[in-house]
Amino acid sequence: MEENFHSWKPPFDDDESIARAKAKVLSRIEAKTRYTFSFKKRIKLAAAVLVLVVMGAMAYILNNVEITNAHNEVEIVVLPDDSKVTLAHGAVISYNKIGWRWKKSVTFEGMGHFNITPGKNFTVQLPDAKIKVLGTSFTVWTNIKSSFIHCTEGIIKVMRDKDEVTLHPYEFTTISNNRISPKEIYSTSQFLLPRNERTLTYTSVPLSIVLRELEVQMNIHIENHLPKGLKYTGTIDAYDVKTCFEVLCKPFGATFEIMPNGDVWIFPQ
Amino acid sequence: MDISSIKIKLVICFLTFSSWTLAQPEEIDYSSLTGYTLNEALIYLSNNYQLNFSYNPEAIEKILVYDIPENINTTSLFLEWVLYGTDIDFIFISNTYVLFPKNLREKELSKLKSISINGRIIDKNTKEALPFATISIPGTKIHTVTNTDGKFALLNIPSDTLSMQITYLGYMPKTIELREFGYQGEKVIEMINEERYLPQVQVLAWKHEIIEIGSKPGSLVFNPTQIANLPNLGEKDVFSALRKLPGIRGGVDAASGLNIWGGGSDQNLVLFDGITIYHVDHFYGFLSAFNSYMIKNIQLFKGGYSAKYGGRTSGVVNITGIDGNKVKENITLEASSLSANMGVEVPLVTDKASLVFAYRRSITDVIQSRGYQNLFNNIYNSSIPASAQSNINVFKSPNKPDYMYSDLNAKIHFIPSEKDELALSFYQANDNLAINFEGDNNIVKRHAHDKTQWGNTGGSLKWSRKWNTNLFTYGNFGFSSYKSHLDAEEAFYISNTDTLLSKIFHFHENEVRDRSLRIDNTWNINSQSAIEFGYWNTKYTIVGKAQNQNEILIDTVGSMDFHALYMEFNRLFGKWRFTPGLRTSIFDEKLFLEPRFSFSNQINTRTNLKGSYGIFHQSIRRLNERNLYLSVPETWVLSNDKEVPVLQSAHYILGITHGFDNWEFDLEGYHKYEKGTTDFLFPEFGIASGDLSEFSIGGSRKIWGFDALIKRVFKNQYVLLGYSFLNSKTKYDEVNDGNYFASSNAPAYEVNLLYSYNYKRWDFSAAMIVAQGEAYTPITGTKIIVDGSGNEEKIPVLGSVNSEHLKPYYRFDIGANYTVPLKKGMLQMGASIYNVFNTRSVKFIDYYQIPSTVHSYDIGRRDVLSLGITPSIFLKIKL
Repeated sequence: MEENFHSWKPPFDDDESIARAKAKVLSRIEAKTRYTFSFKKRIKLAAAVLVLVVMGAMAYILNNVEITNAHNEVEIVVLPDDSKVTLAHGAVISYNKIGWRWKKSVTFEGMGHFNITPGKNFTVQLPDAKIKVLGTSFTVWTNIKSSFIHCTEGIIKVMRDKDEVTLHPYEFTTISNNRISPKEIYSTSQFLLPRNERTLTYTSVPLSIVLRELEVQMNIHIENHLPKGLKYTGTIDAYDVKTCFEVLCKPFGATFEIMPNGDVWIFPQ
Repeated sequence: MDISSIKIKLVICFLTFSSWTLAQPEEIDYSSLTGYTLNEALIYLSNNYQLNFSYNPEAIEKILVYDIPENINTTSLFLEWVLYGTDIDFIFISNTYVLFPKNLREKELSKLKSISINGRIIDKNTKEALPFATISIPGTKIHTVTNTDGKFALLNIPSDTLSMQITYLGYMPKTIELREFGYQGEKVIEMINEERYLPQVQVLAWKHEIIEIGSKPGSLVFNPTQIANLPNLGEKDVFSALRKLPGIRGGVDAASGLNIWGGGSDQNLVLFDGITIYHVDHFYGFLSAFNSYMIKNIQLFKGGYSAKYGGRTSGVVNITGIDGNKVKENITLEASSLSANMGVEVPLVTDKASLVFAYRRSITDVIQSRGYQNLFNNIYNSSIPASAQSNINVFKSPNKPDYMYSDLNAKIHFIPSEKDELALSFYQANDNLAINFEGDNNIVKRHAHDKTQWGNTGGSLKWSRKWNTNLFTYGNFGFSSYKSHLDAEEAFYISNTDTLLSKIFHFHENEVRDRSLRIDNTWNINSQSAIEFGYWNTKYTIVGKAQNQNEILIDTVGSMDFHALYMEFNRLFGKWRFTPGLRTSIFDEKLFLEPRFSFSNQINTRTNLKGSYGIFHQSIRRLNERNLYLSVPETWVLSNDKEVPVLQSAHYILGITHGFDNWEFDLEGYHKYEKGTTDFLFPEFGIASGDLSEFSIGGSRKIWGFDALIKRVFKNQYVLLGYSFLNSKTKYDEVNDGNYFASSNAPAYEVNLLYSYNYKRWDFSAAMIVAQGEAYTPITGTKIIVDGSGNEEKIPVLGSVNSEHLKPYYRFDIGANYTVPLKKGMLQMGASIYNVFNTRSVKFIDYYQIPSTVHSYDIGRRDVLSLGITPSIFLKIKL
């Protein structure tokens, strides 16, 4: 058996085949050696990439702009595309100068009025929603619990999760409890700014706006279960919550309840 | 008194007078306000006299200030005078005159001023009407649904209503601003289909909804556009999609129709465009006989349904077909591993008339794909009795079957006026099989050749009219015919030769003819009340024929006239909606009263409580299902007191639905009690041939159970988890000592999980089911009996009826589709794998005899397995 095995010959010249195979293997080893980075080189490359990433991130962060209006008067901020934002007391707007080249987007909290220069899509990120606009002006009141958006010119789109509503001039909507309310109408092109007065007078103003102003004025949250579209005329003394809501709710046949946390819930009777 | 003191007194008097006059408010001349509206008057008073008011300006806008008498000199008197005889009162609180409605109830407020809105909801692209779409007024409980023509009327809604919302499964929800929409005349509202291949539509937010849980108990609406995205057996199949829902038995590969809440499949009323369909499947139940291309809407009622429906005792499946594109022609071509499908839509008169035509034909007689072979072999092995074999590949034998199925739909839809609609529909579905059976016992060789044809043909003429805002009439005259026909030839030869010993020809036919006239009316009294009433007449004719060579075995014709009148009142009381109704049926010259009642309570915006009760009767029954071996036709019979009793069922349903964010929970419990049941009780020992003597007749059944459904919708994902519990017990006097025993085809539990995910142009889906195995009657042993001649015979000893269950059924399916939008249409391709893990559960068992001596035999048991892994593919192009 052993003998027979050794006497067996392959049907080709084995020496030449082995030589060819060796040559191929060697050439592969050389090729591999040629393109292999040493450990030092790898470290240098990684460091270079890291430095570039860190520098890029630093540059981006350093170009973040945040403006807060700490004055009692309104303040006008001009954005890189000449859009103007009128900030009420306490309003905060922020954007990134570098990111602005690709995406016109600002983050906003507080009360303000936007007058956007026509151009690319402009996005305003609120705590609970997003507004997309294309050359328009509108008013925003927002805080962590709710938002109010009133369109004074052009068309704006308000989005929250899967909900969205498109506002035309004089239409407004509110966002509360993670929901966008059906839109309503208030025919004014003025910048709506909550008044810092104890006595508030309204003439045929949507009840939703009255309630939003009271929220700001009294620093409370109002849960309104009345139908949308109601209007209100009258004078309210915002000093005392109970009296204020007695005067306000009765014309609509509504009742109200002051919750332990100070929030006010309004129901149809 | 000196002059100085007088001066002092005068000064004091002057000062006193001055201060008094200064302190007096300026006198208001109320009479000068005459002619103004109260709103204008109050604004004037507020601006000029620093008076505070608080009111709803719209509530007082029509109140005028008229003829103020001179003695009116205070604001209170002024208000009393002006508000006298109106519904407004006032009160003085906190220095403010507050005007408020005298009757504070919301409904009274809405009565003061109300409007009505008429409309029709259609598809934006095809102009096709959308039936059963929901229209609601946000912030109120006012809602309605469109009728079969997509029309609706919202009556007496508050005039200050700003918007209404429209939702329709498979379409993007729409909010209509009423100030832009207007109130006069019939308004047409266009909805956008969520199919994302529509190139002109930028879909910003659409949900992958598959079902919508109805506010009525036991009701569901299924989204037909999503059927294509579910795993299937090579055909987009409606019924296999419905079997993924709780309450509908899903733990079967093939079943004729649907088993809903423990009911038999013949107990469901299946309507397609108003035509009653008796033959609801192809391929022995693997596929439904409805071309998914033709389906626009599927409504499913699992029980406790409206008085509008009757004649059946379990569920209702109401399928509405498409009317056809009224704007442009389109053609859809589809090919799968089982069939080829073509659909054509042609507008005959733009926006007025359309023609739709669809034809589907299997290619199984030309190309026997692996999937098809799997399906046929499974049916073949499920059918052959008296054999230990359960894994025969009939395609590797010389007796290859020649099988094909087809269905055809055609419809002309015409809108002659704003008030009327006409539709002429035709439907035909057929199955054809030619198969040989051979056997040889080394003495005699048997050769049988069976040719069977079965199918449903139907047509209907529909007319509907909206007489006015309040009254709508729907009329349908239709016919339906289910025919099952067998031509069989059986020849016997001497083994191993061609010497013919005998040849017998056999013919068997069963036909159900159904001619129906149906008139349904809806009278909307106001936004809270509606009455539905109508009349149904059906003439059933059942023809039975059987012939053995020259001997006529069966030649019967039975017919029955069925009349039904119904009325149902729908009324909203605050949060409660009550729907009492009565259906009176007359058949076989007897009167049957069927009271119906349902309620729902919108506990809050998220939670809905619902319940229903109803009595149902059924006068036409199917005794047996089609079986491959013996080619036994399905046997339908009419109920009468002599042979098969009328089946009666009482339903009691209570459920609750709770939804928040993107979650929805639905829990429904039910109890059904049936009288007059008919069962083939021991399928383990043979196949039902349709002979009445094989059946247990006149029993009763007690069923109770519950369905739990959890639905979670993401933007591009959808999860449906269902659990069904079912306890069904049957009783026959002559069986099980007259005690209740577990019913057949009624698994105690079933868990369904359905997941669908959309990523760009891809749609992925997965479905899993776990169900209790089938109940069966076990053999506990054998006993030997001795006949009069002293011969001993060994016979089996049976355990209690259906006292054991097979191992649980488990299956996991996956599917993926890819959609390419084209300039004018779309291209879609997809693949499914049925039973990915190839878990071959035991579907049912057969006992068969193994002869041991002349008078004795042993009992063999054969496990019939469920369908194994079966891949399938399809390609669809729509132009």
